[in-house]
Amino acid sequence: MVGAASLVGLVAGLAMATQALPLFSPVPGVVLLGSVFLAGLGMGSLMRDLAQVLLAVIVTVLLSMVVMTLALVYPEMGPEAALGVEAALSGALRKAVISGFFFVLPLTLVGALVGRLFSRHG
Amino acid sequence: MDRRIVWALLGGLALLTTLWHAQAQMNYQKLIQTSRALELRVEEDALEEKEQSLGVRFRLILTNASDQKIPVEAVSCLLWAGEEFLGPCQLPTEIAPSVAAGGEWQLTVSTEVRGYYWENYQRARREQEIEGVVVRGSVQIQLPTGRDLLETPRRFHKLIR
Repeated sequence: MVGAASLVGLVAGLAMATQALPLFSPVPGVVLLGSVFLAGLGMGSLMRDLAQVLLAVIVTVLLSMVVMTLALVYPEMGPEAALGVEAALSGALRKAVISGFFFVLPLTLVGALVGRLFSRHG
Repeated sequence: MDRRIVWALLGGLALLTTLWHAQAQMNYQKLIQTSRALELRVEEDALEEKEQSLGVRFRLILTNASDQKIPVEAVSCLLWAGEEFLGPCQLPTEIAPSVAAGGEWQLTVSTEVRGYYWENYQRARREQEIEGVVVRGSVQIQLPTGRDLLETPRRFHKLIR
């Protein structure tokens, strides 16, 4: 469960961090959201217990927030930084919390619940 | 669904999102580097007072030290004497459409302030302690973002004495 949630958290965090840079992303936002849903679907298909699915989704959301914050702050650590660490951290945290609750949580939850159906019938 | 397929799907997605994010960050860093490699200056500025008009001349120079060609969309500027408005700059009809990589873009602007605006200038001279004419404006450029072009202004400001 932890392995799958970690991997999905990484996917969701990086996808949301890429979505936070819409002008520079090589793929459209809908593809990034689709990848989060697909990862949630895969995670759900690995689990049978509903409580386990819900716990995995919570772990995924929290981990995605950490990954997204780090992904957005890391480039601002060097001497060539455009914003500075404090400004970048404040912006990244706000974006991570909003993305976590409004995008990662519903997408992975619905994805995992649909994926769980595959697990039952598969 | 086969568990191995699911793990492969999750691994593949992790790899893909890592690549996408790295590409987005590279595009972002490239934009910042390109932006820092651009410098806009106002040079060869001069004021020429005549009987019924005022000549304002200056040259805009945009230097591009980056390795990319930067399109120039538009130029605009306004003239001020203290708080009095002296009208917009008279720009040449032919403006070079881009700055070559490692090159320089120049625009010579020559404006004759006459009539109503000339009276404004005279009033500013009488009623305010003006040191000269202030030119304020911007050059609209397009910076490459990797996927698209980002339109952004480069502002300039100079007191011409």
